[in-house]
Order: sequence, then C-alpha cells, then structure tokens
Amino acid sequence: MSSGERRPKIGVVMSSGGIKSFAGIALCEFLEEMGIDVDLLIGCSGGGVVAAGWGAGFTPTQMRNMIAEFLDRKLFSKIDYQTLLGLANLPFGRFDKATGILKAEPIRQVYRDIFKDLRLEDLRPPLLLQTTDIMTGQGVVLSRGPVADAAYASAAVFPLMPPICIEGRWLVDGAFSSPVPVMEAVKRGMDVIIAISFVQQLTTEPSGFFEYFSNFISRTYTLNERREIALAIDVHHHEIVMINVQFDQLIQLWDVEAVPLVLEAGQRAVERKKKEIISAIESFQRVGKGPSSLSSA
Amino acid sequence: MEIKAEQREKVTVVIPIGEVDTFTASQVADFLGSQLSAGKTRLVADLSQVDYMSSAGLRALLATLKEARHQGGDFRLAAVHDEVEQVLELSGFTGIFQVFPTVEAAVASFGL
Repeated sequence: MSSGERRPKIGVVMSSGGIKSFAGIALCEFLEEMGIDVDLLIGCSGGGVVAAGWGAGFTPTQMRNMIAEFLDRKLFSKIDYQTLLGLANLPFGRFDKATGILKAEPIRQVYRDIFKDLRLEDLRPPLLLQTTDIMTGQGVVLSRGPVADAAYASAAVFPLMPPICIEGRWLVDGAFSSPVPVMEAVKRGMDVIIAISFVQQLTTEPSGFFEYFSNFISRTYTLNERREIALAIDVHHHEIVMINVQFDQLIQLWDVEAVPLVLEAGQRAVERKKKEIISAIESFQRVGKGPSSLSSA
Repeated sequence: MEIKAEQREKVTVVIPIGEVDTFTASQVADFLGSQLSAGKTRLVADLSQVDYMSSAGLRALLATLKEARHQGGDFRLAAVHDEVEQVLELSGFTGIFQVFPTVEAAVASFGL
C-alpha cells in the first residue's frame, strides 16, 4: 500500500521543560479542534506530564484547571534535610540512590491524585514516557505500569527529586538521556511527527546558583535535542514538524505564577505552525492521490 | 519551484526559488544530484529566495552534503533567509553545514 492509500500515522512528542512544558497544552487543543487523531504520544519530563494528562483523557481545559488545582509552590519546599546534610557529607546526613533534596512523597501523591490507578498500557493513544537509568545513564522508555509512577520518574530532576525504582531500575528525569525523544517516534513507524520543545534564551545574565545551574542545564538539553532532531530528520521518511516555544526569561520549576505566560507562549507558537502541521498531514496523503478532508486552520 | 545554477570559477552556485517542502524537496534533491553526477562537487546553495523549508527539504540538503563530501567536495549554504536559518538552528543543521552570510563568502571559502 503506498503512502497515498492510507492516512498517516501521527506521533506527538512533547519535550522536557519543567513547567514551561505546559505550553504544550495548546498543541493538544489544536489537534482536538482539527479532529486530528494521534497514534502515539511520547513525552519527556514536564512534556511527559502533559502527554500523560492528555493520554489519560483529560481535555485541554481540564488540564489547565488541574494546573491551578495541583501545582503549588509548597510542593517544592519540602526539603529532606538529612539528604542535604548527606550531600555535604556532614554528621546525621544520609545520601543514597533513593534520596533527593526534596521529599518525593508530596509530589508523588499529586501524581496519584491526578492519574489514580491508570496504567500506561491502558491509554489510547498509546503513551511512552522517557526516563533515564541513574546507574547506567541510558534512556529507558516506559510503556507499561502505573502512569503516576512513570510520570514522576520522567520528571524527577535528580538530585532535586529522588529517583524511583521501577521494575528493578532506578529512574530519573528523561531529559538527561533524551529531552525530546523524537527518535522513538521514528523507531515506532510514525509518518508525521509533531515535536514541541521549549527553549529558554535569557536576555539577562543569570544570578545566583539556581539561575546559573538552571540556565546551564536548559542550554545543554537544547543542544542534545538538536542532535537528536538532526538524526531523526536524516532517517525519517516523511515530515517532522518542530514547534519551538521560546522564553526570554528564566522560569524555574516552582515559578507557578508564570503559568499564564507559559500557556500564552504555547498558543502563539502553535498558531504559527498550524498551517505546517496540516500541510505535513495532507502532503502524506497527496503524494499518491487527491486532497485530504482536513480543512484549513 | 524554480531552480537554476551558476558557475563561479570552480564552484557551482545553486539557486532554488520558492518553498522547499514535501512536494518540492525531491525536485531540489534531483537537481543537486544532477550537479554532482556532472562532477560539480563544490556546491553552494544560495537560499536567499527560499522562505520556507520543511524537514523533507532539510533531508534533501543533507543527502546532497553526504554525497558531495563522499566525492571529495562539499556543499555549503549561503544567504539563508531568517525563517530558514531558525529551522536550521533548531534542527541542529548549523552544526553539520557550513553556513555563510553571502554567496561570495561561501564561494571564497572553497579557497580556489
């Protein structure tokens, strides 16, 4: 069967980006509005949380409401002082692969409250979440098990958040191995791949440890993303549409007051790419026959 | 889409005009491939008149780059439109291609 005789398989990839990843909700909204069926959802870190929410059946409006309900700055203030002492190798300190600077339980409880007992293998479209094995550094793509645990693992920014043990492996943030896991969509035979990523390009000099560290991590993730995208373009057989949401200010994980700005930035970025997304889908069908049924955005 | 080629000493400057997408990428690839088949392995793409390039277009450029280098030449990009430059940047292609602000600079970079 030629490409023109079947509809394209569509994969959506949502990259890491902390709370900046909530900008990806705009893409979910657009795809729903256009009636575009997604065959595979892949997420990493913050993008994994958004992908999990959408895959679990929440509407974009529900996701926006959940951010207001569940995202609380206090979640990121439950410091594990024993671990903090352990990092500095001080008396009464403790540090091992199950610990992190923040206490995991309040954050894991939020994921359980949202995803209940949903399992990855039950979601439609199928959802894959990118994580990283803390012992080997290798990427681990989760496709089964509790969504709540997988979403936590995918976004567990080590050493801020403790790793989680899933099927015998200690897993942390997928951004360490593949911030935008677009190759996973290539590997799984998607035809049109829509990848949304979030870039922080500061216009001012960072100040303080967290700003420097966050900026450095964000920039290195971006460079790793670009290497993976280049490889994916080389080996893919149809279009990869890249949506880039740019931020010129530092937005930390706990900057919950920045959420409205994040959502607006996502809407603007998706708006600019609507035509390209539709064209990528239609062109797959038109390379063999007449125009498809998608209307113009 | 229109594509033409101009010879500047031993460098061939290829000038595509229009959008390079799923439908036109193969035309660009074929044109560039015909230049390589004719032994013109020092290529520059003048992208000043290309204001949109999809991933299919990028793939066509990459295939040309690999073949040119395989044949002992190179394929360089010049005068890239802002929109396309952003696509090159986001897709990591600025780390693969030599990109020059002007066609003259790209031609001169071959040092012939």
